Amino acid sequence: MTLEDRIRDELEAEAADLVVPPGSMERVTRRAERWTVTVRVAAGLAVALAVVFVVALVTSPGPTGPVAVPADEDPETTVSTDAAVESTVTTLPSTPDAAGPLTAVAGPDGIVLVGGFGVVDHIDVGPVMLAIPDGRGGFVVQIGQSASSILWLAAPGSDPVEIVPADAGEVLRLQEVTEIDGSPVVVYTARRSGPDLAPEDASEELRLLALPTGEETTLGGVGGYESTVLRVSHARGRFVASKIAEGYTWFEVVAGSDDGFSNPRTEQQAADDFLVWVGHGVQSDDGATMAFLRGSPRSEAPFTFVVVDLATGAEVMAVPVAGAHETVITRLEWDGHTGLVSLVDGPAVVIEGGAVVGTLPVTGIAAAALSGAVSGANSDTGDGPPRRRLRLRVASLLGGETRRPEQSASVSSELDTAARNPLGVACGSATPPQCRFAPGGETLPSCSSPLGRRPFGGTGSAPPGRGGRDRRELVNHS
Amino acid sequence: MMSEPRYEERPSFEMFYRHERDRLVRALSLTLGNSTVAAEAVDEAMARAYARWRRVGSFGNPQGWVYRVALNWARSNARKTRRERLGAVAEHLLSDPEPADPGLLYWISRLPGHQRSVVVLRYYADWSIDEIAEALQVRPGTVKSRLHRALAELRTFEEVER
Repeated sequence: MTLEDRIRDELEAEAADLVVPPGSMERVTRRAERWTVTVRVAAGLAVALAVVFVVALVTSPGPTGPVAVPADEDPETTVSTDAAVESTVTTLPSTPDAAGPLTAVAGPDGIVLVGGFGVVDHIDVGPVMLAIPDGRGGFVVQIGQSASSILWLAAPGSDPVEIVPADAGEVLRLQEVTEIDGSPVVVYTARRSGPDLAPEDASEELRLLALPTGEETTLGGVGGYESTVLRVSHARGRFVASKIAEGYTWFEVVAGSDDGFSNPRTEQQAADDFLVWVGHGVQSDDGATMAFLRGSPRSEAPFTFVVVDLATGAEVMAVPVAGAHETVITRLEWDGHTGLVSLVDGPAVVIEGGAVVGTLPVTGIAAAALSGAVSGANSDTGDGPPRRRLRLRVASLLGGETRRPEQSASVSSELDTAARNPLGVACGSATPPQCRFAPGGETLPSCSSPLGRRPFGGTGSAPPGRGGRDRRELVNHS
Repeated sequence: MMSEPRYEERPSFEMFYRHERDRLVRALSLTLGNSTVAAEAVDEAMARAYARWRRVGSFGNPQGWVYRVALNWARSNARKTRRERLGAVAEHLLSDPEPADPGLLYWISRLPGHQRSVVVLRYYADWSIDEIAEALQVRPGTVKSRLHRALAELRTFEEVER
């Protein structure tokens, strides 16, 4: 008797012994009616919650509330009094060679730009969930978590443009901004579900949108019923998704070639050992390494920030991140040198050289910048591949003059010896500092921002009811 | 990846329910190891099938749809209530001491859930590779490899026991 025959016999025998709870057509039809109502109510609630969430974000006053400014007051002197911003600006080490990350942190008070020496600028666009520098001086922004359109702020002072409109049946998730053929490209996922679809008929697509042409490309399905992606990362034509389905988590090349991609966690491995959770995978721009978070949802131990060499599959870094757990990690960034782990209700943790070196000075979701993302200066990108940078762009932070990397040390030294305000925010001596935050909303003399602080909701095509329509009443840009 | 239709013409929901309900409960019980949960899950999936029978009934293998929805529902429900994967039986058995004379069924219960599913559907429900692939929404090649690995593991288990 073959093994297959024995399996058949054993299963048949076991099934015959099973006591099957009786079913009834009547119960099923009653349940179907209840289920149909539940789906409709749930869909209605989801829409209502999304509206409430967006309204809450838009009207959020921040920890201490916005400062109302008379209409005739100079808008440049209007600075948020966000206590979180003020109280933590010195968290990062500020030694000359620990230049640290430059990144955009999205939160209830807009976008805060952070450099190695603390907060560099604040763009008051109202509450945002995620803001990713586009590498050309602007930002791609998502305001709410669901039912929220994706906006583009071409330059900090310009009016936002809705580049991906919200669709009632779709949940959009901004993933990252990358560069393809020399142009910035928005990577996002669109999940289709809702009252017209059964949960098991849900679908999720990976899409690209080129800036500024608006050309859209769909790369195919990446999720469905009870499966979704936590993050999609692009490097050199390869899109890697961190996927989750039925409790399994794994990585998958969802578009582009998987040549040279030594997958640290395949679907098969995930199914074989579902107790290990992996996610938020981000490739370095050269596609050589990938960082991700790993842990066990069942364990109290913090999750580990892991970096693997994608050519060999070798693990080159593993750093436990205190407080990091499946449910509190919001985003991960990795530029091949520096890692940032954003956590709910806390500042992002900075990892360099195999250790946690500090936290960002503000709470919010941190996103990496493409080259020259802050000032638009792109002088050293050349014809090479796009580079996502977390490292401090010292020159651009000081007012637009771009310096070569070999000059960084001297510039850093200059910064180190420059006047520093009591909060430790660097004030370059050669050029005016761009912006500083001071206790009680005080603005330091000569503080001006080339980026401006224009809230959403100006005269452009900002969607009504989103962003800073209310805030426009607080800040006069005339 | 469409399998051959099991019904020559579209069945009424009532007929489908009468023919398939108990067999699906048994198949899911063998997968999950819990007939109460399996019955609950199949009834839930049947209710959803009933609510949209015009569409589900037109599928070549509606019982595959019901099995998948029931399996997903059971796992999702288990996660919601215990934040644990179901596979509860396998875990339960893993934590239990091995029986003195473990039978083949014991070793099947120790297979990972995704392998157990294909073994049950192939050898108990007697579904084709294509039908299983369609039900689990994986490629036929994936079903074959899972089946192959499951059989290899069962052989290994038995050899080690001898």
